[in-house]
Amino acid sequence: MNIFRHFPSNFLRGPVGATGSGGEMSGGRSQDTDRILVEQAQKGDYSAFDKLVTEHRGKVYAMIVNMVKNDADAWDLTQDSFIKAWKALPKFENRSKFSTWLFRISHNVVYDWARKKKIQSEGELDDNLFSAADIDPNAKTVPSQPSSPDREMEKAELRVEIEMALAKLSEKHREVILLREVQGMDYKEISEIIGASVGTVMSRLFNARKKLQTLLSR
Amino acid sequence: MNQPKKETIVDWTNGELEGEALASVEAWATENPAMAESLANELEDPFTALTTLPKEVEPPYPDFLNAKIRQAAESTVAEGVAQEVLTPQPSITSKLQWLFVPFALAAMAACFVLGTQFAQKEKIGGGVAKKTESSENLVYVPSEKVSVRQFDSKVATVIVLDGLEPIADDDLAMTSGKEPSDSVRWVAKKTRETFWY
Repeated sequence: MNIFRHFPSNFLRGPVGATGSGGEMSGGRSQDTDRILVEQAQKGDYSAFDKLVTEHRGKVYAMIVNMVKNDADAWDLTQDSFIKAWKALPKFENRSKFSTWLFRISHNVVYDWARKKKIQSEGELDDNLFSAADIDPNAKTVPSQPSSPDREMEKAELRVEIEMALAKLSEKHREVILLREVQGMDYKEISEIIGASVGTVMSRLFNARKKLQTLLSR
Repeated sequence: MNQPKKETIVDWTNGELEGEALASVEAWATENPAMAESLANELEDPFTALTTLPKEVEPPYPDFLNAKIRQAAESTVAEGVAQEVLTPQPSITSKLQWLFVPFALAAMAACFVLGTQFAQKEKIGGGVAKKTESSENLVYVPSEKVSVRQFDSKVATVIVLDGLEPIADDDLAMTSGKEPSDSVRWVAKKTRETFWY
């Protein structure tokens, strides 16, 4: 058993697996910190941007890997997202949340990648680009707390089922439900990220939930 | 705008509104974002099973990811610097190039003005055109005591006779076979003529 996982590998993030606690600050304080770091980075201080990368890479990677279902591609797309964010940083007005803006960039990166993949693939007309066969049941995740092996196995099986069901949704439905249910974003933030109205966000959410329930109840 | 009915908001949350009804509720939501959010959260039916998915997943080799991003960022900065270096800075002459045309026009105008000034001076200073002593005399003078000098110009020919005996005023008559406006005038001594019939 790896006891070192309880020690912080990154003082900003806290111990491994401590998602939603430990190294993560409260929402308001995190936003203020982001604002200060963005201002420093815009003046050319790369170490400030490096801190932003460290702070947000987990969320961006989690979102992208749930979208593309491939660790290697998700890693590359995460890197691309941050590189684009660095290049576009002078244009960021620092009035909205940095995380929302970053998710907007990663949204564009993922969609560009999916579009290129569609063009390169042959004869694929289905909008559901990502098939359930692409999901790796042994995909690496970080459990919140160690628990009994049986419980762990149950959770792993449920997670696989959910991921397989998610893969059957269209990209648009999958994205909104992940942003809402997993990332915990509000409707306005989601509408800014995907570039649609709040009404469209709600409509897609409703349809995504309905379809997921249908798939998981089979 | 008034708050929509609860059933309308439920339909909106479930994505079942269309057309004018949807536009109307969205307009209200835009004006009252906090209220709309609160009501939507209250009425929506979240899919709680998805909370089993982690919100954050540390990517594999996170430090290497940071290093790659830094490398790409530094190459972006280097490209920007190289672009500045390769783009030649404009020299002083090229910076002042815009002055050439107005300067040339000003010089041309000055030359024109100066040229007209010189031409006018030539005209005003003479009426008196330059006198040149002509070597070719038009007057025959039999007396050796009288010398003749002739001066020609554009406007007149002047003949100077030196050594003539003075002529009394009574003997002078202004006579001309032509009108006074004519350029030819001559002075002659009056003489009495006696005619015998």
